[in-house]
Amino acid sequence: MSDHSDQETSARLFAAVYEELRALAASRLRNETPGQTLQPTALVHEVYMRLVASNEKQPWDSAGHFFAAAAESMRRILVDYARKKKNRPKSDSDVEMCVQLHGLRDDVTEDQLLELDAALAEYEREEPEKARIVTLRYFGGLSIEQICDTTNLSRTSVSRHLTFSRAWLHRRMHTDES
Amino acid sequence: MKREEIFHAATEIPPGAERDRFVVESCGGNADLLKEVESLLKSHDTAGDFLDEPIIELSSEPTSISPSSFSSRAAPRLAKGTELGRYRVDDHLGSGGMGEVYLARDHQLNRDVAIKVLSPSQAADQTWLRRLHREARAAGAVNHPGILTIYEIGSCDGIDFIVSEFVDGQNLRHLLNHSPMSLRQVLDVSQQVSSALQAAHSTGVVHRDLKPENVMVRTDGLVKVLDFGLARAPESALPVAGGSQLLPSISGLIAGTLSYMSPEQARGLRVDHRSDLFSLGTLLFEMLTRRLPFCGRTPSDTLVAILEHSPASMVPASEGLQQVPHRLQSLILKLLAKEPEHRFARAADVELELKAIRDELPLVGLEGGFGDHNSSLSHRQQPVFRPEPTPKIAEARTDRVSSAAPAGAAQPSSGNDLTRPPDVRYCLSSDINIAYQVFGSGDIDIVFVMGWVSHLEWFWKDPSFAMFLRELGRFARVILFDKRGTGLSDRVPVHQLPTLEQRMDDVRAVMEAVDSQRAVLCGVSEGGPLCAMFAATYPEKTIALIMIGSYARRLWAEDYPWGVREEHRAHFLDEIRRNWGGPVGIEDRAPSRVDDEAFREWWATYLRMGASPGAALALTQMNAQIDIRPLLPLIKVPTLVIHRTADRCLKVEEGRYLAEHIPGAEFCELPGEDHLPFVGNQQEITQKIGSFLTGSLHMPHIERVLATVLCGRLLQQRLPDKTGENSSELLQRFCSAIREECQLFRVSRLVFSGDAFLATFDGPSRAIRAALGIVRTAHRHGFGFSGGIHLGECDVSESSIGGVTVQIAQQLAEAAPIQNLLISAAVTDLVAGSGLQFIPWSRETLPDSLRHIRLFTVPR
Repeated sequence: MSDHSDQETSARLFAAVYEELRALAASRLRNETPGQTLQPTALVHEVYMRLVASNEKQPWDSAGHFFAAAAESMRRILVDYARKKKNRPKSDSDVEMCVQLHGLRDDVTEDQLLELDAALAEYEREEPEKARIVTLRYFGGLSIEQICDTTNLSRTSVSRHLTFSRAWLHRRMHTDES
Repeated sequence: MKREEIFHAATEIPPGAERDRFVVESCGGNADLLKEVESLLKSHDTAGDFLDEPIIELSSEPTSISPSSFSSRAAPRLAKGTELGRYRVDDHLGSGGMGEVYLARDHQLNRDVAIKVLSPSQAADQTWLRRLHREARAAGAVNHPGILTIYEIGSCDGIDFIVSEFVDGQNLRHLLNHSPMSLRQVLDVSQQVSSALQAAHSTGVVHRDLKPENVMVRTDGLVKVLDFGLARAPESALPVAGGSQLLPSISGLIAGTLSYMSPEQARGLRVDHRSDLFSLGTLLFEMLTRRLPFCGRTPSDTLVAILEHSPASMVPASEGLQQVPHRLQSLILKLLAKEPEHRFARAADVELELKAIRDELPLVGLEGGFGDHNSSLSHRQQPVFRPEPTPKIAEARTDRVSSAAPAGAAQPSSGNDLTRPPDVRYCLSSDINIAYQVFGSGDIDIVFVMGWVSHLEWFWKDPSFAMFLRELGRFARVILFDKRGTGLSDRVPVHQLPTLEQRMDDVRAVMEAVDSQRAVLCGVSEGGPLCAMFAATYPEKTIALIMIGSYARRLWAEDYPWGVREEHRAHFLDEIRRNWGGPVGIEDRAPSRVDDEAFREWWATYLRMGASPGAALALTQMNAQIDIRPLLPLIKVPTLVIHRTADRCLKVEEGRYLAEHIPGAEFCELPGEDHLPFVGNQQEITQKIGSFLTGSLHMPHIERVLATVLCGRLLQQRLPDKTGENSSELLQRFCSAIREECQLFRVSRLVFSGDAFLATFDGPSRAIRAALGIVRTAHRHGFGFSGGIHLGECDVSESSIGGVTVQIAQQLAEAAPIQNLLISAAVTDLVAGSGLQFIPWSRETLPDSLRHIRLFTVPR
């Protein structure tokens, strides 16, 4: 396979996953009761299941590939959300976007999220592999076990990478402020 | 790498002079490196819980614990003698999913209590704390001996804790790991759990996390259910006190909590009390078999198993044990139904049924464990699934056919005793004895015909097969038989194995014997052609025809390219010659159970008992001759064809072929790659059959739905044929590429007709993206393609899509330029922001009917 078609496959996968996640989240909203939280990880799983069930031949080769795309989708969805919310008057509720925040921890502000995204983008250039692990963990909600499966790294390596990345990103975000 | 190595080594040392010295030494005078590492360490120390937990809440997926939280758990936080308000900590009982648990003394009330200390992250989660309070109050309001009483949720010196009654006993996980449980004990515990659940459910409290760790068995046998409504996944992945030694092979920590989840819970849907019933089913299953009904190598596999697979077979925990009574098996299978509405309605119903099962146990010989060979369970081993028998009819029919069979006189209540299996009876067809069974209730009769070889009694030994048959028995009287030469019917010389014609005679003989004037003919695999032939030949005896995973012709032919090639066939015959006795063909027939030892064994035995090697070989050779294609247009009865998309044994195109050639046939394609209907998503199949037959649920009722409709037209091949493939093959390939493209974007309905197709999607951008994919594919395949996309209300039935919206989409497709799309503004307006680009299309060239619509094409 050429690089080009690889890229096309990835782009298509990403488009499919992204679309699925948004649609699913929006459809969930309609059935939401107040006080109940959306569970993005469950969403990701459901999307995965549906995509897998829908087609014998997958355009991607493994669940790992999928989770990476899902985590990246989730990151973009959340960052988009944060950006929109920041630039909008509070009263203007964006229904579709609201739902995606239902399952979020409420101790993370939009600003923090955007800062993290920027820091992560920088980190990606320096340490692409570790940045991917952070995305899988933080945005994709994968457990360490799952990250091990996805990346073929040992548990120890994954934990160490996370610890290191945490310090790096924290420093990056806080040096900016000062 | 160096900076990381120093960083990691330094994090092992507590902050302070020693660490500083270590870092300085390790950097060996490299000032930049020193600065880098120091600043990273500073961030590390001050980062708090930054990035510790994913930004999204994890509810269905347990997460792991960072090393630091592990170490904080290594030692109890509270020392003996610590005072927490009016409580004095006496002992550390263990660390569980919910936090650490201590035995404490309540000075004021002078009683022992259990105190559960919440982890800082739990205590910091206000939403969760509020829910905890609410649920604890609710559960506390339920005054039931089987529910752990919560006294107080308190906070003292910055420590948050829950105070509850102290139970002197062991949790069920511990019991399961350490001592064998008798059947009676299992029934006793589960009955008490049902009772507690019922009490909670009736006040609206759902447990959400029922598992062995949450069930305490007191030394006097009283059962207490803990942690009502407290479920919170991230913490539950912690190792539990007492560890789960029986489950370590299955992905250790994670199996624990995920495995007890109901499908709706795993999907993140709203759960109600029936979710607890599913977990109760899992609990029962595990108590009996020491295994989990659904489990996989990874959490995702487990999740898929919960959502899609039928439970593993119920093999008792250790060798030499008797089987789990069938009535109990059915109860468990019902609890484990994927759809909440197929489970019991209330926990109280489960309790009653458990009690009934317990009452049926013989009084002696069971106390030493239910596998005791002395037990008199053996006569109960065979299942009867007559869910709601109508005794009068059942008895009347029994009378009519019982002359040749031993009447159930041994059983006092033969008429409606649920534990009795369907009797095997015999009738003569010409001079051959055909074995058959009749069971179930319902106004119509179904003759259910398995393919290849069969064995009536062995049908029932596999729980999933038994469940499948039982489900059929819910809406029909089911008639089963073994074809002559196989199973329990007379064995015949190999050269006298039946042709399809002879087997039709056998069906008629059996129907006559059970006084069935007309029946639904339902054939699986090779049973399908037989049923189709019967339906074509005896329409007056056939109510309807159902073909599951079936075919019209077995071998490849130029005009039937899906059949097996000779060489494949020869290979399979060889396989039979060499390996009969083992689970021959299981890879293609039940791929999802191929690693299930019990199932493999069942299948191998089923085959062995079904046919001798010679008969199996001869039958397989005979099957290869089947070609009923000319008969298909003659079938005039209502027909349902069910086929799984990725059936490994027979291609889905073969099912489509049947449906396309039987007039008016309905085609139902289900996901999965299993061939056998009772393996995999069997409920979808039985439900489909049920709704097809009762008609009440899915009489071709037309629904109006809002949908985006894509109409595509395939135009003549544009490029000269370079590959030498003939054009029909190319067309087929193109059609399946279209199907794939549509499925990738979750098409809701897809109907091909001639050189056009219609597809509906839930979302406009999906329809467009699918169509763009098809344009590209068409180009690659050398086909011309034009598509029209419109959005609006459609009249949708199971087999057709119609209405004005569809007509417009069709007109658009006709007017669209080749290798492009015409899309109405109704669609394009909705996808703003999707990144899709459109070019306005001049209305001049359009038919009048479309002039009022704004239209767009896509850039090429």
